[in-house]
Formats: sequence, C-alpha cells, structure tokens
Amino acid sequence: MINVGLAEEQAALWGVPLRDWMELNNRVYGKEDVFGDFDLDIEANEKWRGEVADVLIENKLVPRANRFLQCSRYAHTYQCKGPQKHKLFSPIYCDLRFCPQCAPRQFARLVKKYEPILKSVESSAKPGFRFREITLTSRNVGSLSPLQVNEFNLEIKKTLKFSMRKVTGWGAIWCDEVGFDNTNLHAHIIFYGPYISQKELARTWKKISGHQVVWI
Amino acid sequence: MTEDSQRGREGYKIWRNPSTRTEPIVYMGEFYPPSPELFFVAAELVALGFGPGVYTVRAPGPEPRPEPRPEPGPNRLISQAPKWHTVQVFK
Repeated sequence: MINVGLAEEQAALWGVPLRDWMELNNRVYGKEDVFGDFDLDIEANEKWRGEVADVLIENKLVPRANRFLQCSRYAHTYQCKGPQKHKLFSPIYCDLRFCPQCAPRQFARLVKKYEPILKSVESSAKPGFRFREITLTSRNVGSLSPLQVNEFNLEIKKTLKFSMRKVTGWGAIWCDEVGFDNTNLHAHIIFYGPYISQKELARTWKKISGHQVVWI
Repeated sequence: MTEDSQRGREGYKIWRNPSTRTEPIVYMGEFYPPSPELFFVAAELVALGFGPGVYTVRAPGPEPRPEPRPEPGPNRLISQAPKWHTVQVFK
C-alpha cells in the first residue's frame, strides 16, 4: 500500500512529480497496491489484462483497451483548501465492468441505484405479486454480434409483455451475459409480478425467439 | 558537455533497479546525453561509470498523459514511449 507522505518525500528528493514516482515504482516493482487490498499476483494479472486488451484492440476498441491497461496506474492528488490542507490520493480507474478492480464499485453503484426502487415495490406489494428470478437463454451459435444482442433484448421484452398482456403493475430489469468461455447469450431477469408457469413462459419464449431454455 | 550547453535543459534521471521487491530503488542522479536527440544506452552508462545492473531512465519531456482518459493512441505506444526506458549494463 502506498504511503503518500513517504512517496511525496521521495519524489521531492528525486525532483520528479508524484506521478513519475508512481510510474517508476510500477516499472520496477510492478503495479502498486494502492489501497492495500489488491491481490499482488502481478504477473498473472498483467498478462491477463494484456490478453483482454488485445481482444479489445482486435475489435477496434482501442480507447477502451487503453483505459483497461492503465487502470489505477495513474492518480490525481488533491488538497483541501481549508486550514487543515487534507491530502487526498485518487487513482484513475478504467471503470469498466469486467475489470476486477472496478467491477465491485460498479456493483455498488447499481445496488445504490436500484435498491430504493426494490424497497418501494416491496413496501407496497400487490397481492400475488413477488420478485422472481428468470433466466432466458438463446441458442449458442458460436458467434455473437451487437445485432444479435439487440434482437435478443427485443425478444425478451416481447416475451414478457406478451406473458403479462392483461396484467398491470409488473416490471422487470435484466442483465445479458455470455458463458464463461463461449458465446452462450442469456439474460438474468429480476421480474416483479404474478406467478408464471415455466411451461407457459417457455412456450412464449420459443414462439417469439425460437429459443427453448427458460429457468424460473 | 559544457555547462552552457546544459543550461535550460532538463537531464535524464537514472535509477538503479533493485534485484528484489524488498530492496529500495536507488536514485543515481541526473545526467545529460551527448545530444538532446540521443537516449542513454548501456555503453554510455558504462562510460559514465555505471556498474553492471539494470537501470531505469526517465527522459526529459512533457508528461505522457495529462488527461485521465485520452483519446485513442494504441496502448503500445504508451509503453514504448521514450519517456521511460530500461537499460541493462553487463560486465
């Protein structure tokens, strides 16, 4: 974990800005453990980061690859204007949701965003309504394009709307995922509404999307 | 290099890399290459009296990344930028 006071002293002694101090330490020792809670398996982590960046570059996502590679490598230092002159050290994160360092922060943001909605729904629950977890899966065809993902999301929307065509007060949010090492596109849905049978939902899903797998 | 020719120029800063993570980085000082366009190479470090080891050299110049999220520029260019380089001196 970085001791900012010592780092500043050493940087001043060497006549370099703190940013260069950090760059030098990164180059010599590997990535700094800024908050002391980072798994220091540097080589494996950096290798994996490089592999992900290569895939991003191959898919013409160069700025994103850049951000991902440089996550936490640089930082801003801030100083309060008040009498106590507090010093704050703020690493520059990539904020990409697949970054192991940034994903937990993104998760916390999502919880903060949706928690009030979920609490509000729970506090005025309709009879027979409850939260249900649904997974809708598409057939794995070995490739995946933005068009396929858009169509998949549209089919989910249609399926839920069709299933709830005479119901009011229902709602759903979902997140698309692919398999760990494949292109198996599926969606995890938090659904609020009445009971739907798996059989009925699977029939609707197949009719609308042509896919078969439904889990409730 | 004369003092006149060095005036107004920032030098190359050189650190000796430790062989293990527990050892400190040692600052060797600021040095000036024979020409502003040249980078330090191992032979020049030997000429300056540097012994065997691995050194990290920081070239003078602007900061590589003033913005938190710069636009494109392949990331490889950043890691290969001449601002920093590693020089190994053998016996």
